[in-house]
Amino acid sequence: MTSTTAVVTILALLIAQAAPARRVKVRVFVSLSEYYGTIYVRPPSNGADHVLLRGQPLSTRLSIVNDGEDQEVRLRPSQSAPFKVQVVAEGSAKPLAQGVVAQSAFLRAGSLQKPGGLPTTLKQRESLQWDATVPAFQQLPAGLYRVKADAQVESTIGGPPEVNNDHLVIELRDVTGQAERVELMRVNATRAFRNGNLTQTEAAAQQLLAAYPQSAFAYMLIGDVAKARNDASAARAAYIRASELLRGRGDTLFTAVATDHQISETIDALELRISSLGR
Amino acid sequence: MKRTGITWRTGVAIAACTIFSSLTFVTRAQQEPPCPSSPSSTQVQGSLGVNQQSEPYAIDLLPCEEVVVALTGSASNHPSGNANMRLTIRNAAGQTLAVNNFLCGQSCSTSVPLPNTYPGYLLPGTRGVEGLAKDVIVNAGIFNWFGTPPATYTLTITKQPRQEYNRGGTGFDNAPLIQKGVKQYGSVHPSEPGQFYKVHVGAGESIHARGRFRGPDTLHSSNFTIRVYDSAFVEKKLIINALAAIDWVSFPAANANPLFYTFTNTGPEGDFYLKLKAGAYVARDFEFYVTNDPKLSLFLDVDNNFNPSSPDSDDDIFVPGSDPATGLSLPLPAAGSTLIDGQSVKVIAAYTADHGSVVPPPPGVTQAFLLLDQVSRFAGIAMNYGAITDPDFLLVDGVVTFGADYTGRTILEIHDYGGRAIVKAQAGPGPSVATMNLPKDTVGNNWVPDAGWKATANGQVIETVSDGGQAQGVDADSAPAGNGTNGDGIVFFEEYRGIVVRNEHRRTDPAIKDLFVYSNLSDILGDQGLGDALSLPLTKHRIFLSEMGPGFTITPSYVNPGYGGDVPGHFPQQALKVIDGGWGPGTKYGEAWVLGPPAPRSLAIEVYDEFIMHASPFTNSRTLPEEYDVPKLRQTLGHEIGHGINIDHNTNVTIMVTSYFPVWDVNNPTTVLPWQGIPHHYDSADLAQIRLR
Repeated sequence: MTSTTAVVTILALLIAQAAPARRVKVRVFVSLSEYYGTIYVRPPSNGADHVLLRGQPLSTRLSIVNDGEDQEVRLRPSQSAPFKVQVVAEGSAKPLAQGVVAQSAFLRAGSLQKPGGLPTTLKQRESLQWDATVPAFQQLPAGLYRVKADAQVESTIGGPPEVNNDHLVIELRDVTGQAERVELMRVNATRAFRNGNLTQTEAAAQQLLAAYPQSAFAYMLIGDVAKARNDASAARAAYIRASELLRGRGDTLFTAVATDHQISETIDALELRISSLGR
Repeated sequence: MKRTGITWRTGVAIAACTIFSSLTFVTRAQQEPPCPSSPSSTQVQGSLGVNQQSEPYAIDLLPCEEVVVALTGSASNHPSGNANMRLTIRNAAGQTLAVNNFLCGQSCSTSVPLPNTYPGYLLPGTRGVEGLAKDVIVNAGIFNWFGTPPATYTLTITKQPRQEYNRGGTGFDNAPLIQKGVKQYGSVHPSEPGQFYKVHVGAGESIHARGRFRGPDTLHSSNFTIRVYDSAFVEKKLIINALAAIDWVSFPAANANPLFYTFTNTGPEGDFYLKLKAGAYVARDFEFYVTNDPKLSLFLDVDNNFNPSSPDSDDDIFVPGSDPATGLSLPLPAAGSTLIDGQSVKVIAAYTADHGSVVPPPPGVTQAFLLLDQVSRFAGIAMNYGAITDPDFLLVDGVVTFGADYTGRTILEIHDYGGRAIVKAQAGPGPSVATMNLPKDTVGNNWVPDAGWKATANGQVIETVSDGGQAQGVDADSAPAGNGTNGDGIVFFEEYRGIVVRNEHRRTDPAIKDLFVYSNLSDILGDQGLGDALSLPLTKHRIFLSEMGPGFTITPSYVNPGYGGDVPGHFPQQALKVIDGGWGPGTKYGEAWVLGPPAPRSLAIEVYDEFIMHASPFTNSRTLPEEYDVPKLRQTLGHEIGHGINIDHNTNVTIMVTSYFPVWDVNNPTTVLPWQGIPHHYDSADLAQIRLR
């Protein structure tokens, strides 16, 4: 194949894929609305998408997206709630817990996010999002669970929305050892930082360090708090301490489950933070 | 003999036409004399006394001509005078072919032959000289009292060409080989040994002659026969024996038993001879063709235009589940069904002659029995859609009745985009069977239609793929070359059978590597949720969760408990699973866990979109969309998907760079600010690592 032919072929492929048929598509997406990954415990297993430790809330995000080309779609509820959320054990159909879908929704349109709800009109690329919680999830025994969401929405284009995905598989683990306890502390501290509560973050990080003094991630959070407070010196010190712990493989709970690649990437992330503080 | 001026001019015209014909049919002219393209007419004059005979006037009729000789004359100046006269057309041996005795008075006008007389009118040419007019003579007998010899007369010899007539042989030795289904025309005189043809008959093949003939006039019937002889000139069978006067009689008779008019070659294939013979009176005209027994045939009609007059089977263009007009796959079955609808595919059973046309079924045969044999039962209907292992094709009816157009039809249900089967039909007593492979697969016998297929994406044809006979299990996609490992984990047959992508069935291109990605990040960026990975030189397909099998497999439905077995060479190719990891651990923007393939993937790629929003300037808000959120999200998607196809980190500033941004050096304001240099391209080093299996 000549280079010209190759370019033409590649362009044709790109065009073919970048220019789907002009059809209105309303699609359902389900994701977690709150998740902090895994650091001190094994990543998800047995096909699970996420790991939640007992004590971590299960909060999902349910989205309906106008994935079509250029037409508006009018949406209205077919039931009282826009979604029906249930939890079943993986491989079973028996509902074990029901979800509670928030009354309020967000309309996302490009860079804008504003309150929304049904009925509504979705323009191209706009989405309507709800959060849902499953309060009884924490009462379930450890195991694999499928969190399933069925849209109860009608659209002007007829038929139910297409389903990009209608479920997530969550691995619920009990907190049985130091790794899980430390992980839960890390998650709590990270959640506080995510929510912008620096004081609570700092306290949670200190609590984590008290329980596990080798936690590089506790120092990273302390550094993030300091940086948010424009205390570059304190931030640098915390980041350097975190980096040293990782380089020296001092954070044994992390290095026990992490790959070299992950350790290396985390060190890189710390270096980037340190560099971003300037001299 | 004296030519008239008119006759001379006609003779010039005939000569010119003959030259033209010779030029036009130069090839045929080497085998036999050309036939004149237009009539000719010759006039001669003479006079005869009592009991005198004229000289012979030449006719020299060609086998492809017919002739009539008209006479005008006078035998007396007195109104009551006359003379007995006779006109005779003779063959080369001087034997009479046609004669007319008449009384000529003061003036007379007649012809030989006369209309509706036993020689036939016009007198036909024949293949043998025994029936072929050579000359004409005039006789004068006794004149009565008022008769005034000599009788004077003018003869007009008119010859009409009959193209394609009498092209058989005069014996076994010069019988031409004729093709089945090609009509032959002629006349045969009782004094001829017959007209001879040669035909090739296969071992076990049955043939018969089909056509019509007629005799000379209303009062005399010709006994027309056709006999079959073997290569030793031994008569094998009388297959036609019929009588006809002036009206056409068809053979074989409508209700005749095929046993009587059919010759079956019980020996090895070879040449046989047909002798056409007339008894009692001339067979003025015959036309016939040799055909074999009507055989049961099967046709496929995928575009609803089957025409029994010129039957054509669509099995050579049939691709299960594809629109024959566009090549695009038909929509997926309705929920709960495996029937791929929207395409009316009919199986048609009919008897045909070997010249192709549909003919009536044999007497007593009204139905055909149909069944499907060697049916595949692939799981689902495409490589990643469904798990049911029911038969991939179904016939709506197992028995079809031959209708007014002599066809029996039923619907073929398509339950798989890559199904295979053999349709079998049987009708009537004995081994009257027909088979048809679906789809037609004579090239490579590799389960792939000879017609090839259209590779599609997003409702568009992106490539026309031909079947080069590759084995089913070959996986040789070579573009892009990547790290030199050919293949994309989807073998040749699987590329044809196709994969469902966002509720759309697609067949793929076996030359271009295909990448399948599932993501629960919505496509609000208009890039199919692939971010900067959209620019990878692969064919990329974003699939729904339900379109991915256990362990992220993209071709889980490779099992076939039906005929043929599982897909040979199947490879457990994985899609990339990309999930929204929310904030994630708070240290990075995404996680691919493993670099691969060949390393198998057991964990989803995670993209931490909340953390990307938080980390990007200027407010560090995780909920307020800002300037760098989208480009960073796109680059992260491209980066992690890049890891998913074996691209490692790059020290150059590409999508695969480890530390994404130039460091902001507060002491060097000329340095590019962080976040402003987000890379959106792969370099050649990145692309040279691509590996899909």
